[in-house]
Order: sequence, then structure tokens, then C-alpha cells
Amino acid sequence: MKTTPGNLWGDQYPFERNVAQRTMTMLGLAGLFVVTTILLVRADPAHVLGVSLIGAGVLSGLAALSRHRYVQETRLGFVIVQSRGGGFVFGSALVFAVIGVLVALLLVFD
Amino acid sequence: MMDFDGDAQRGSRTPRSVYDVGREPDPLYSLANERTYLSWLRLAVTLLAGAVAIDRLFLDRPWWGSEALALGLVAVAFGTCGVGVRRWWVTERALRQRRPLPGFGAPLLGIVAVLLAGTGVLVIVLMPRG
Repeated sequence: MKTTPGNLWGDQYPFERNVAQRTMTMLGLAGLFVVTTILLVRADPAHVLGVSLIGAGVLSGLAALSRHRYVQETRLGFVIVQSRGGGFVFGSALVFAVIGVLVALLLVFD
Repeated sequence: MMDFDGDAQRGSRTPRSVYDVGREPDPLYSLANERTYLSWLRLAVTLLAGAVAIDRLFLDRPWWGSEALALGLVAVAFGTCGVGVRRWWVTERALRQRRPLPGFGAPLLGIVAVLLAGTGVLVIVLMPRG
């Protein structure tokens, strides 16, 4: 079956599923990062609340960006898929490694 | 499988060892491959969270068993993330080259490791401590 780029997307293409799963995974990583950092530095709860508010703002911005990308992907179809590389995969694995080291530090030294 | 009239420009995406081979697969398969990777990553994050939980659970009375289990969970989590990245890499290449997908050997080892860790958690939680 031959198709034309930008003219093939129907509802069956699971961009939203991918965006949702990316967001869920990133939220898990962020949550673990926050908990580990709080435990490591023995943060004051009031300060944590303030930082959480800033973090919530940043997360909302990221969610909006993610939604924008999803809409773009749906509209542009093949063009945007061609730009999808392994950056997210390797970037998220790197973030995981950093958080994993933080957790190991927490277990060994705290 | 759906084929496309165009192909992505060579060298425009990283890692080049993946995207410079074969030709563009149906995006459905690439997207599914990414979701599988995300599942591996979520499992790894869950294991790390379990390690933190065990550490906090035994904070007042730490003993070698709890520390070994927590560190073991961290090790399994790193392994899980590594398996996820490797399977994404191998699968994407196989999809692009229209070759058979990789077997399930490494993930099986990961599942065995997770089961062992789970058994360790049960033993530690249920074992009476003096």
C-alpha cells in the first residue's frame, strides 16, 4: 500500500498513546528524583512546597509542549515521524542512570 | 505493512547505527517499539522506588539483608533499563531491515531477577527480627 506523506493519518495511529506513556514515564522519573533529593538533602517541608509549586509550573509547560507536539504529529504525519530519532530513548535512559546513582548514594551513605 | 513514497534523509537522526540502515518501517511498529521501551523504563523506575522504600522501611534497624536487597533492586533496575535500550535498538534495526525480531532471552533473565528480588522482599518483610 503506497501513501503520500502528510496525507495518511487516521485515528488509528497511536501518537496520543505514545505521548501519554512518555509523560507517565517522565512523571515517574521526576517523582523518584524529587523523593530521593528530599531524602538526601533532608529538605525543609516548606521549602519543598515552594519548589514543588515551581516544579508544577514547569511540568504544566512541558505538558502543553507535549500536547502541541501531539497535535503537530497528527497533522503532519509522516514528516514528523521522520524527525523522531533515538534522542528520547537515550536521553531518558541517561536521566534514569543519574537518578539511579542518586538512589544508590541514598542507600549507601544516608 | 504500509510502505512510504519517501525515506528519511540519511544522517538526519541519531543513533546513525540504527537510522542509516534499511528503510523506513511502518510508523505503527516504530511507535509500538517505543512504547515497549517505555514499559521497560517504567519497570526500572518502579524497582528503584522499591529500593528507596525498603531503605526507609528499615531506617531505624538496618541490617545486611535489607541493604543487600535494596542495592540488589538498584542493580536489577539498571539492568532492566539497559535491556530496554538494547531491545529498542535491536528491534528498530530489525524493523528497518525487514528481519525477524530478536528473541526473548534477556528479558526472561530480567523477569527471573525481578521474581528473585520480590521473593527477597517477602522474606525480609515476613521474617521475624529480634
